[in-house]
Amino acid sequence: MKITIGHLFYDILNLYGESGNILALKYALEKQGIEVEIKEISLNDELYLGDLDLVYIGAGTEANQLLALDYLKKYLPAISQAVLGGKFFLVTGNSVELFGTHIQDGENKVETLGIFHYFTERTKERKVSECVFKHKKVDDLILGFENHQGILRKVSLPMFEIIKGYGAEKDSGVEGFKHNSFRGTYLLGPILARNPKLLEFFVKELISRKDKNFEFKPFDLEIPQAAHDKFMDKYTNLLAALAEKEDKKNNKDKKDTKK
Amino acid sequence: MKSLAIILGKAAIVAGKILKRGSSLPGDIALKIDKKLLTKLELPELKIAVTGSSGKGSTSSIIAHIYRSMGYKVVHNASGANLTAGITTTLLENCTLSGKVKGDVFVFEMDERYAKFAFPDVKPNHIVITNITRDQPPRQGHVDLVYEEIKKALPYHAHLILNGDDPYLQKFNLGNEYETTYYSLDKTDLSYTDKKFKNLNINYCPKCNTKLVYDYYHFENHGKFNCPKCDFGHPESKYTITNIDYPNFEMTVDNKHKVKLQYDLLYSVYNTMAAYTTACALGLDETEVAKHISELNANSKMYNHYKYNDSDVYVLNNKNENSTTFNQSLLFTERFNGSKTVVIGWKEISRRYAFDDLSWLYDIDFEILNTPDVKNIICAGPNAYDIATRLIFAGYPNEQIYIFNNLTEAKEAVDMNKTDYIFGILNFDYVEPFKSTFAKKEEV
Repeated sequence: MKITIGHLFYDILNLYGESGNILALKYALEKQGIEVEIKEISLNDELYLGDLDLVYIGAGTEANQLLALDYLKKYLPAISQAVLGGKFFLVTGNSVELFGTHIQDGENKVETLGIFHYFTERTKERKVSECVFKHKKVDDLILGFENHQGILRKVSLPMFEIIKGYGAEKDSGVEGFKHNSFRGTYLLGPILARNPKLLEFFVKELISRKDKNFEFKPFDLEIPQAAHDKFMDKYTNLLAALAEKEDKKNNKDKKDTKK
Repeated sequence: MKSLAIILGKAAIVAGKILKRGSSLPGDIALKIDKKLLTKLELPELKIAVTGSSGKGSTSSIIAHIYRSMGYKVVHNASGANLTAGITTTLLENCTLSGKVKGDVFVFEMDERYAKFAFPDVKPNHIVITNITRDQPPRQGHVDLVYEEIKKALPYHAHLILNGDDPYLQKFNLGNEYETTYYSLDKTDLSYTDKKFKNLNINYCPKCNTKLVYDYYHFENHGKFNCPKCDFGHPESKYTITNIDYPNFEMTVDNKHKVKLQYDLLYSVYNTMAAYTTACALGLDETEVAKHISELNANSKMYNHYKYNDSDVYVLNNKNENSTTFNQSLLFTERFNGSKTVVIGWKEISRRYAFDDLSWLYDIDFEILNTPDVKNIICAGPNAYDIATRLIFAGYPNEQIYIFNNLTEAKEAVDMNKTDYIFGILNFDYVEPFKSTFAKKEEV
């Protein structure tokens, strides 16, 4: 079996180690004995979606995001057809904004691809946070980092439940967007490299699409899993310490009010 | 207001000296009293600012040294306090009660995110922008934001001094609105033609968005580039490094001036050259400038090189969350032929923040270590598993990766697997622990 991954805008939407996602996918697929081809596609290249089993797009600067948008618009019918037809898309960071109807930046409105109904509102402050999310079908917490200057409005089909972080919309409790096999999230950087269980889940889906009866071998992800678990441990301890501090403060506040 | 600000600021300096506490507090106090104090001080005519992601400190120190050596009275924030308050403190330390700064030249290192506050008031007439690199990306936003902030802060008539090898820096003068002096490095034995580094800040022509083409690279996006479609390309340099002799810590400028380097790494070459270019472009004599820099760097030695159990050890100091420093260290290992052990680690990702994002590990091209020469990679410290994960995804063989909680535990693995070279690629907080763990063995 051969799987072809299209790494779109590998050289302009490469903000925070996004290429780690491609490396992780390649590693996990090869562990299953699958031949992997990575096609790096960017501004000066033609886009042939038919060749690709998975399209990956990472995060970029606001200027590069617009360059990518102009490029994608040239292929809108094909992209739209691919997304709605169930092709695998993984879109991380601010690139998720491109697939909604528009980006509202104060008075300024940028029409985006409009494949989905959500839209982006640019905010003044950047939302920067360490994140812990839950995914219904993944048996482990997802960790990551977000740093974006927008919120998504009218997200109908979220991907994650938020445990910690801002996510798509403050106080909504959910993050990301999922439709058919399209997945988008504001999480940045190498999320598949840092979340082996999520990586396994994606890779299994990818392979099963081509061969329902595929017999999976071990993924050999013990070390990445240990990295994930160590990070979660540290994080859990820190969270507990913060909660304790908060409790003490609340108790003190109560006493102060009584006085 | 102005006098009160100066008096209280100076009082705080005296108090700080008594309490043996140097800080930016005096500047802070003075600015609280008079926000526009910097515009009211009488500054020297010649004001040279150095900003950028890295190299600000050493470049400004070399410039200050050159001027001082040539008989100028120099005011310089040598302490490295480079925010607005720090600069104000430096000026208060050197001014009269009426606000006249006693000096012929003001040289200051300026934090790249604070230039927007200080430049409009200080109005430096010469500005060195060393580079804009990925530095603490999760928190700094991204390079374009840093660029935009500096660009907005540039005074109207400023003269810029820029590294011509870095296409990103030309963005500061695309409209040709600034008088700009460029310096660059000619092709050397270490230049290469394959791209080598994946995650760069600029790949496309900033004028027409066509992919840039390189004749050769020195490092990351530095090299001889041009746009195949429009007139954008490597600028004409006023001063050029024509040769680098790393073993002797020396570079040659324009085929005639030998200049000593502080370190045998490219960043040291560029920082030194930025200082040389600034001084020479401002009219100082080239021979004299070269001489004074060489005096400053006369005692450079391989401080980072020693023998341990017959192996040559190189200790490379890096900055976490800054992929450029690590990439430079990885490139350094390529200069040597022979079997290699690489030790990678740190104590803390960052001292300043509670949470620890690790995306930047994937901006570093650890793939460079994927050669038969590199026999073992030792990952050490609290993030050893994260480093190992990165290496596994780089395709480095699993069985040659060792994971340890700290350097003491790592020692045995290094001792058991002897190689010709040992490279410590470390965050600065692991440099001393590394040197004491892998110390020179006493003669028995």
